[in-house]
Amino acid sequence: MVKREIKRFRNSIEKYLDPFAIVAMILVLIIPALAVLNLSPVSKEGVKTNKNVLGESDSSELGFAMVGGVHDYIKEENLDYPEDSLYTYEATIIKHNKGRYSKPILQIENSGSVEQTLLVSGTLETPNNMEVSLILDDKSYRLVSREGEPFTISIKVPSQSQEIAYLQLVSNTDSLFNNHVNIQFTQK
Amino acid sequence: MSKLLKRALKLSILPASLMIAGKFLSVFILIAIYQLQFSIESGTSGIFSLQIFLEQQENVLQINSYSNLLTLLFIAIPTFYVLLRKTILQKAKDNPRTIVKLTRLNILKWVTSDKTPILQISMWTMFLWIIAGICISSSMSGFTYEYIGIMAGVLAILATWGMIRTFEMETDKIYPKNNQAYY
Repeated sequence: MVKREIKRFRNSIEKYLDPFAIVAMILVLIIPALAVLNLSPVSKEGVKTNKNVLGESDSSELGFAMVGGVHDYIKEENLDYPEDSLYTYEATIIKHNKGRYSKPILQIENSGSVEQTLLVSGTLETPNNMEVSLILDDKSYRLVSREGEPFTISIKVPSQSQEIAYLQLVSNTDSLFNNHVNIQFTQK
Repeated sequence: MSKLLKRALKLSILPASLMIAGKFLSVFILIAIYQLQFSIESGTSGIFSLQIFLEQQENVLQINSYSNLLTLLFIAIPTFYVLLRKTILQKAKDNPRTIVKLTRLNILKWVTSDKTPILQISMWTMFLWIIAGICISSSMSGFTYEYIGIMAGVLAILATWGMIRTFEMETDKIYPKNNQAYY
């Protein structure tokens, strides 16, 4: 009698076990697939390039900071970052007497472990017999010739380094009006 | 609980564990063989929080490809074994010449009983589809060599064809064709 009741009870319970068995069956099929996918190794290089995560900035290893300060003829400086890997420095050159003038304009920092290459090009709003150069690490790079011809130069920024870039103006004649200089730094 | 579900669950445990163990072992054996630097860290790209990281992208392609190939073989070999066993058994029942051949080869004992039901074949084939799908999608994303994806696709198609043939044999037992007897 008791045995029969137990059997009847077991049979009634087993009816409700079917959905659980179906779920278990699905899990048995899904878990190995997920495990295989997750056991596939990934590279650290791949993860570094995909930092589109909240709280994680798209920081470049190359950093630019304006030095600032006061100069008699180089004024209204501005540093802009219009797009990825492109930095633009602009300044107004006040009318001045002939001569050689320079000013520290930017601090370039490479915090990464790899040497970075920068392409630098400069333009003058109105060519007026003035040569524009960039001095970096005691080397002078001509950006605009006296005739107003622009040049693009390539400079190397070593890893873990901080360098100050100077803007140098050389005028053979007096400059009778204000001018505008634009320098573009493109990270290669 | 239905007997079919119980049996299916019981039969799926072996291929499921073989698939996980196969991938796990093949990844770590390959890392040891190629002497690669690896780390287990928490990552954001995987499904689970822990992931295996390698230094170089080229090593990732190599390890992923060969580990996927080994896992595919771990599942494909038993699948084709049960399919072959079932086919030979059926052939032996249909044709006495097959029995003679099996006796000559001394493998008659291997096929004397029907230990390969359709459910077992279906379970193995389903796991082969899963691993073949992973291999194909991985090779399409460039994480596995292309030939492994093609090979996985071919094996999955062959296993599916074998499973359908077996299913036909089983249904023929219930609804025999004209002038044919099935045992």
